[in-house]
Amino acid sequence: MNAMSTSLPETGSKPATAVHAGAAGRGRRVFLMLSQLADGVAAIALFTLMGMSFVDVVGRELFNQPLPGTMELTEILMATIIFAVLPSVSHRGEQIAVDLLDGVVPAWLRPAQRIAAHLLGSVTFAVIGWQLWVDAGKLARYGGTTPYLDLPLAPIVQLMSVLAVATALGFLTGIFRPAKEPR
Amino acid sequence: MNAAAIGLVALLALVFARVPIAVALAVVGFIGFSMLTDWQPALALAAHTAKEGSLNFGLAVVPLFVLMGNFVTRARLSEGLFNAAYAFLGHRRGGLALTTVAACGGFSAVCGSSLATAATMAKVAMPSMRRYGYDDRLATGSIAAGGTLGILIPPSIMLLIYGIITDTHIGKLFAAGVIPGLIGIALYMAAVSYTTWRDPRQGPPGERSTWPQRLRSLREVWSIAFLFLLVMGGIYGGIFTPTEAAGIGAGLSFLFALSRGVLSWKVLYEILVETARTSAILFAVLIGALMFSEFINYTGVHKGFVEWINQLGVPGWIIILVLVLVYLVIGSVLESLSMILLTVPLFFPIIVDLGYDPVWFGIVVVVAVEVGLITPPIGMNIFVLRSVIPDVSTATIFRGVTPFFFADVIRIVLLALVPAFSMWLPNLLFGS
Repeated sequence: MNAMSTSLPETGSKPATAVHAGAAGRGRRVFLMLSQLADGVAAIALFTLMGMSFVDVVGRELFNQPLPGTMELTEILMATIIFAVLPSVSHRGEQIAVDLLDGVVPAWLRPAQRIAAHLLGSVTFAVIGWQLWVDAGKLARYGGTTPYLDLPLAPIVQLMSVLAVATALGFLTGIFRPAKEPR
Repeated sequence: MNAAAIGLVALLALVFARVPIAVALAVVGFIGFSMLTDWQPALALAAHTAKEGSLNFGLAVVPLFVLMGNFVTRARLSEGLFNAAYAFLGHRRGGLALTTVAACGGFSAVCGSSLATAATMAKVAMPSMRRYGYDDRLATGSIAAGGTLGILIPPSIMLLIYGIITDTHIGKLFAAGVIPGLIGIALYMAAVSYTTWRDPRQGPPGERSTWPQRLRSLREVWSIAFLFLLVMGGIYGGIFTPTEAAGIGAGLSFLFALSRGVLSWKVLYEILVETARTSAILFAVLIGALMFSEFINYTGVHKGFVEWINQLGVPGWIIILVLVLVYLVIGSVLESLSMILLTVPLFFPIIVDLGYDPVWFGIVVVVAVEVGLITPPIGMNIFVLRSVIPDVSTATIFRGVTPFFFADVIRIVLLALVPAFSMWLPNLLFGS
């Protein structure tokens, strides 16, 4: 029930694990554990977001008592939800891609194609993570906070940065993901 | 102009080489922007767009509406909806197919995704149509086509995305989708009638329901009507913002699913993670598209385009028809979200410069996406149906949707040439 963006699954390139067991395999297992933890964090954040907006509106309309600071908490929860699931999404190759030419691309080229796509994805998110870290540094120096609750912004952007780097790792470890691993 | 053309070619090359669309957009946007300016501003842009595409209040509307759709889907409201539609339409020729179209339309009023609508309705509609000896073509065609209504009738994830990237009023966009959605239902029903008129064996009529039966069947749909009226009514009445409406909708459908006993901890967790994933996939593409738009805007290519169009001196409606044609072609090969995020940054400034209404253009784009969902070779709704009903071939489904495809072409031309179909309701509700 992947609601709208049914991701196009990776084609069955040969599982590279056989060759790359050992260090890569262990690294991948550690990554999987941590990314599952991050998925759980996203689930909790999403449920909190839902509950918070519900209570905020009901409180305001029925009891004239809105929750304070909902807007900035919403922003923080949004960033958490999105960046926390990106590592596992990227690892599994669930990002939307166009597989229109799959029938034309010769079989021997497909693993190379897959590896190239994962590497490019990894570099992209590494750059995003790096720049978010730089940005967080600036926010820390200026003492940037949210307007109402005075929450410091730097740790939030740092968290996004770490998760973006984890996404870059997810793209990397995804190269070693066996084609038939259960979801 | 040149930079934009090179960027576009590079983008298409990457996309067709199977690089994730989000990554392709970000890479081309980043490199293009840094060539036109410098590395430093491009690097700063990377951080800026990553924050703009996530740490953003207005975006919360997306996961919340996706969540609402996922709860509603699990709550099995689809069966009640189908039975109610059947009570009114079942006795006609092709009655179950008409029922399917109507039920899809109803489900679309609480679910903003076409794929989810098609998958959900397939589970209810297909067994019934099989039981009555419906032809697989008509059966699957009506589900695949009916499912596309999910992204037009509000709430709609695609209209949300369009609204977010173009900064267009989401309430107006939602209101603008209602009448084109109803036109869609009417034309799909006409397509069913045409098919059964040509070949009555494809869809034999069912038994007629009595009025007491009909009224009883309506009891099952009050919850959907209530959800829709509360969520949309709240937006139009100015009681809550679209984000708040989405929060209320998600919260209520959670309570609803809870009361129907369909939620275990495991199911709840699955729904939450699935929703988070779907949203993250969307937002990754959105972040990429934001970077790509910055680059395209910097090249100023659309100003050149507008000048060129003005020099050509062709009337506006021809431009629109050409755009619609372009969209139909792109829609047949690209998945819907990518199609919107790839094309809108390019076409939107042109449309606005030519003096057209952004709300109306959003509807035209989303209807074009709907058509793309059922056109070969990449019709996502057909693939979804294949996964739910594996024993029907892709070719059969594509044959089955043909009459619906023509109904869609009629609809999109109507909507493109007569903006009033889209604009009447939003102007009435929000003023023009």
